[in-house]
Amino acid sequence: MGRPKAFWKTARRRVPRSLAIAIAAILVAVVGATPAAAHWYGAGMTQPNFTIRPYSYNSSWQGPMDRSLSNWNATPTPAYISKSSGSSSSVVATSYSDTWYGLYSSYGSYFQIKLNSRTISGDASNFSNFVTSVFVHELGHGLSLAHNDLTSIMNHGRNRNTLTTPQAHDNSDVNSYY
Amino acid sequence: MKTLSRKLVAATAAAAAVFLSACSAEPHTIVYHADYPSYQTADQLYQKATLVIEARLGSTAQVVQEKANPAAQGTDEKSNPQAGVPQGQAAPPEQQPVVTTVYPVEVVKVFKGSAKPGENIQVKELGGTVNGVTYKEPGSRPLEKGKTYVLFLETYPDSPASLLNPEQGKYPIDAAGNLAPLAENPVKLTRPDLDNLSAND
Repeated sequence: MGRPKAFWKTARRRVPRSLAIAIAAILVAVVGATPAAAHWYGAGMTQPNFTIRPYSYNSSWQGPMDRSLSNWNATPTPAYISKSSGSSSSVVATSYSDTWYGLYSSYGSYFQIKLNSRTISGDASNFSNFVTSVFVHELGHGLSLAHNDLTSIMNHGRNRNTLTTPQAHDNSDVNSYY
Repeated sequence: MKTLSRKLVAATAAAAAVFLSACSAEPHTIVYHADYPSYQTADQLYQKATLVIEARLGSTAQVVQEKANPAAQGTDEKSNPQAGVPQGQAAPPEQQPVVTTVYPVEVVKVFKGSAKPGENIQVKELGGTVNGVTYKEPGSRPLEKGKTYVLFLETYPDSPASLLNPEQGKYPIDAAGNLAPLAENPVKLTRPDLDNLSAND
């Protein structure tokens, strides 16, 4: 019948968290398994604490973007996102001729997030909140979160003018993965 | 317990080695995740689109790499995040291009916008393969060559038109000529609905 629960509980405590994530990632890749929670996104960062290159935009953008990092860092999760000039990951905010508000591109060990100033400025009624909502969402992909239809920062249908923080489901998913 | 840790590390390393060697022969994939607006009603879709057409896809497609629209260079702080930034501050990082697949489509019927039946226009979707590297959104179902759709599009002066979003911007036409929304699209739509929207525009 396998080993008793207590054995695995103790073993889990002794195994480094990064090792557990590596094992999970390999299982996912090799056998197509997914973690228990439903919204796993296989191309997030391997660690919940990662860096992003410093960015410099005008005050309409800079504050709301900085708030996005703070909103993740304030969650009851191991998520911690900081700025570092040596980071390979980056964010670009400018005008794109496309319909998305934000785009997350995973390049393996790093990512680039694009924020579309054309669509965001065109559709926002609360501009500051809208920018934060989109950037928090994209950073959520860095934390391995996928899109869903729940009360979540990862829901396409959320009200971006008001929903600016990770929700309970998002925190739970991050805690499940890391 | 140390023994267990060592065994786990060894097993993980072995599995990783096997997995990585298996992967080395696979084409490299870049995963995209885009945050699109979603729409609750057909009226919302219709009002947001600048062009609504029934269109037949051609038999070809071209993958292109786009960078940001230079039209961002304006003085409005919201539409141009660089406006008002003092010179000498950190320049934006180099942009990775956005890879899209551009489809030629023949306009069959126009419900909204400035196009004419028989005209050929270009429509793009996120993703494609460039130099052996595949860029794609998980779960996406790209437009299919040769098929007929009703498309809800946003048009641009400097770039091919885009679907309002990948799930709701395209309605495949089924064998009976009806609009068949994708499974992820909760907005049902009929030809009479579309004709009404067009007539009341």
